[in-house]
Amino acid sequence: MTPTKQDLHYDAVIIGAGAAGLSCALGIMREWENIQTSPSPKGSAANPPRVLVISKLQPLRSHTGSAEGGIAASLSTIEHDTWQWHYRDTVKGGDWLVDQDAAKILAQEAPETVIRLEHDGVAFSRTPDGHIAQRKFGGHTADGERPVKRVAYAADRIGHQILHTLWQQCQRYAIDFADEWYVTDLVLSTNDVGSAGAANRRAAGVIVLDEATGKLHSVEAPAIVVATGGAGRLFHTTSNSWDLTGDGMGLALSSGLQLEDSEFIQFHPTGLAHTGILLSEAARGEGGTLRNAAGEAFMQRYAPGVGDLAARDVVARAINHEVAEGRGVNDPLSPDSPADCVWLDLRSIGRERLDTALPEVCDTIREFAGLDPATDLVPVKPTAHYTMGGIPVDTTGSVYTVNFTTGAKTVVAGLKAAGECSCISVHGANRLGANSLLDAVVFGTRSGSDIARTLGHSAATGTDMATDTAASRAALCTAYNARQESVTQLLHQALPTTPPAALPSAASTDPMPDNPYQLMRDVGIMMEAHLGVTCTAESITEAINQLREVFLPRAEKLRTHDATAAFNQELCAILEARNLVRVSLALATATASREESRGSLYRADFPERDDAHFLAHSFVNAHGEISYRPVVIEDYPPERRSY
Amino acid sequence: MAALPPHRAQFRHTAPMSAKSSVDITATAVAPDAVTGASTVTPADTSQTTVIVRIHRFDGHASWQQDYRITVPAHTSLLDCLLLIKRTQDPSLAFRYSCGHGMCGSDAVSIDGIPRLLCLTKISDVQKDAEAQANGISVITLAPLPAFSPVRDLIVNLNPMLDQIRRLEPYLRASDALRTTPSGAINVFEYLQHPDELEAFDQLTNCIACGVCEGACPIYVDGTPFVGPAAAVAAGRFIFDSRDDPQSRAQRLAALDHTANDPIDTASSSNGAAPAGIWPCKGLRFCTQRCPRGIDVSGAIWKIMQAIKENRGRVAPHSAVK
Repeated sequence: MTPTKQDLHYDAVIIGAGAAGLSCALGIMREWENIQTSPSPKGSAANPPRVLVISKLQPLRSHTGSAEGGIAASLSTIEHDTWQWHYRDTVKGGDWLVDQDAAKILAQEAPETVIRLEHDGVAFSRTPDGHIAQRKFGGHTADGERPVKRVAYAADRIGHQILHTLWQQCQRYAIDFADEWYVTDLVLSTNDVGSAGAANRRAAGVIVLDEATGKLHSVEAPAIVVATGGAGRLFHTTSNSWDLTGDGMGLALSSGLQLEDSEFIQFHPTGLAHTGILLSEAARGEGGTLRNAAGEAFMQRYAPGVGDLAARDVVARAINHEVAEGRGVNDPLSPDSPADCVWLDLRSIGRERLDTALPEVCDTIREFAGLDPATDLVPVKPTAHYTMGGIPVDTTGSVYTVNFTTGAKTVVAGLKAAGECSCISVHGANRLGANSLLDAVVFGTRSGSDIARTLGHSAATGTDMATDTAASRAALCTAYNARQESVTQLLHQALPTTPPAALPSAASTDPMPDNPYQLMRDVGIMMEAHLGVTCTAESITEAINQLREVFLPRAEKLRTHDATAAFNQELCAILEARNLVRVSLALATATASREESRGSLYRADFPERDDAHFLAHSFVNAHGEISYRPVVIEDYPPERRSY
Repeated sequence: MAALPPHRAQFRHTAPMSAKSSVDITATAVAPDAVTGASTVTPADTSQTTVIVRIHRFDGHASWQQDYRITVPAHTSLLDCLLLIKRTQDPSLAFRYSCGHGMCGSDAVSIDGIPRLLCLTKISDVQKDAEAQANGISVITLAPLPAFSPVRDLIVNLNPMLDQIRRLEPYLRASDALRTTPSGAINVFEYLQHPDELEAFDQLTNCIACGVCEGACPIYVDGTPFVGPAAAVAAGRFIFDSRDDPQSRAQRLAALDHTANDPIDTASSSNGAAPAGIWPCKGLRFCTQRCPRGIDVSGAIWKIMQAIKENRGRVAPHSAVK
């Protein structure tokens, strides 16, 4: 399945094989079929599009598979619901930093999206009469008044179901998969004939490192989709897999593009104590309660009425406030650590319902805490979970940049982004639970459909999508050569590994040369300390200083400890660490500039939301430059956000 | 699939233990009758322990064993041990990992000779079983997952398994009559599926394609022509799904029955033996015993065998469903 040629050409290359990437691949193939079978096909390309899905992992390993709670849609299978309520909840949940045109599409297309997933094979949990079962989730309400059962689920492993189903459906089509390929460069070509003197950039292709062989490949494609997921590894305590190092965002910054709203990081309130492993919000949706050291169900004080089902940022801050007030509890597994957890009490749910509705949550608690959720209280603390910001895209998934002087938007031709690495923005300053899979599938599919239509149009008019193939090839060639030189340097200046026999006693006197694993850990600890649930100008400045003066130089100095090219994981890790530092700096820069508190971002020095100055999306580039654009408001003017 | 156990917790957590809540808050909001009896979980062992992790290493040419000595809490997972070694002792050590909590299926290796996931195995799970001692310190031996070719250190080539899964056309083929409305629009409603119909295949959808069942199966490891437990589960997930078209189901069963002209059995097709579908399974149940997702793989294979027998003669093998 994995291509073997060194220089490749595809109609579309998708980076990432999670929900967004696979939805995009299916979107391309299905829309192409629709075009072929429509009464007056606009573009009748004889052959199906040639699509390559690249993943740095094996098939089915993507982090989509760890999503637990569900996918939101106003299906009304259990109680009356409307897409307008879903739309409004999404806007409110995002603290009005949501582009309402995009959120409207998300809510409107949600029901058909969930039905399509069901038709594709997702084993949804069912109501007694056979319909898709739905449960309550934080921030999802009936007309803003009371929690509503909007979230379709498959026990508590909806992500696993969706990931596997999308991959299965991809097997129907002639889609190529390049497994364990790491994209090192996103290559854009530039021509200077654009209007107003602005450089027009378009997608040219990617340079990839084949992990199995250590060889580089150059892949030319007029359509590229970045669907690499989030960047939870920016923080030490995270629900994210080890692979969420912000690769797509780092690639965008490296190729001169920008990140939007990168200062908004969601901390999920219920990570399993110090492991950071997610305990799904479904645990509270099913009746779980947060309690402080005194046993008080404290969320009723912070969010009367909705209580434990308030939006995630509200709950995360409430937990931190309880801890700060001395009402936290210890993680029993780390008895010497500060009392920085609270209890999650699932006992009232009962063993039988726990096992049927929350099997993964229960297994995680048993496996990683040695506790029985039916009888024991479970220690939880907020865990870095989701990046609301990302590569700026429009509602067809097209990536754009903002001119920092004029504020004008310019689309990068042929380049799209979808899923967590993108920012549309449907999540604004805080994402509602069960909206992330929805975002990835809805907008992944839309990106794919749009690519198919463009390909069809190119075929019909006889034009190549890549208007300047020569420029694309030249850009790819330059990028390939530069990367080859860099990889050779990383491998051939390999550092010695300290002999294991000499450890650990030798570690203090003769420390092992730096490595990317230690670097990423140190970055995460520093970011968590200075840019976590709460921050101030002082802590942000400290983070920026450390990133510039300590971590950037360390990242540049990294070399592998082994010169073997095949499956040299450290080689990839060095590139990941560099992406992580790059994205950290963008995040810190955007945080410093936003002098307000909104959604997931809480600045103790600016504790109030400031719509007069900051009802706007931030755009930051790799040079630390920043600009803002106003939020799109169509139906719901900003209100005070309370639950 | 009523014969399958209701949940994997039954496999993994058996020791009865007393409740351990360190704060008594039963007086607050919880109805006393909601708390159902004693805990059934072995509490985590937080004591520090020193072990030697002995790793089979391979760089594509040479292979050797390398020992790493670490001191960590006994509840530490072997994945966290390896990450500690990678970070503090040897960054060149190669092993696959991703989510770290048993959902992605990346980190199946042989731990003291038994295929398991690194992230779901704690030192305290294996230390007492570790027979080898070095100067009084337990030795935990890690080797690549059996049945697959090592590529580097603990990384193996899993493509034979993935190929077997892919060849069995692992996607739902629901009846077209339900898929579109008379006007050609996509059916706006879900296929109805009652909870008991879901129960018939739900457990099989939990498969994470980690390969533990294949590494645990003596027949598969031996290279006998055999479709293998992982591909059987992947196909069974559709065979027992009430939404899959009956004709599609019949063809799935035929494909697993006997595949004289079809190279589905890739486990050892290179040795020239005739393919044998699902039948080499002898019900040894190591797959069921080892599955980190608690899937009764062996039970599912047995049910597929019964369904194949009922299906025989109803369909010509390999007339493709389009």
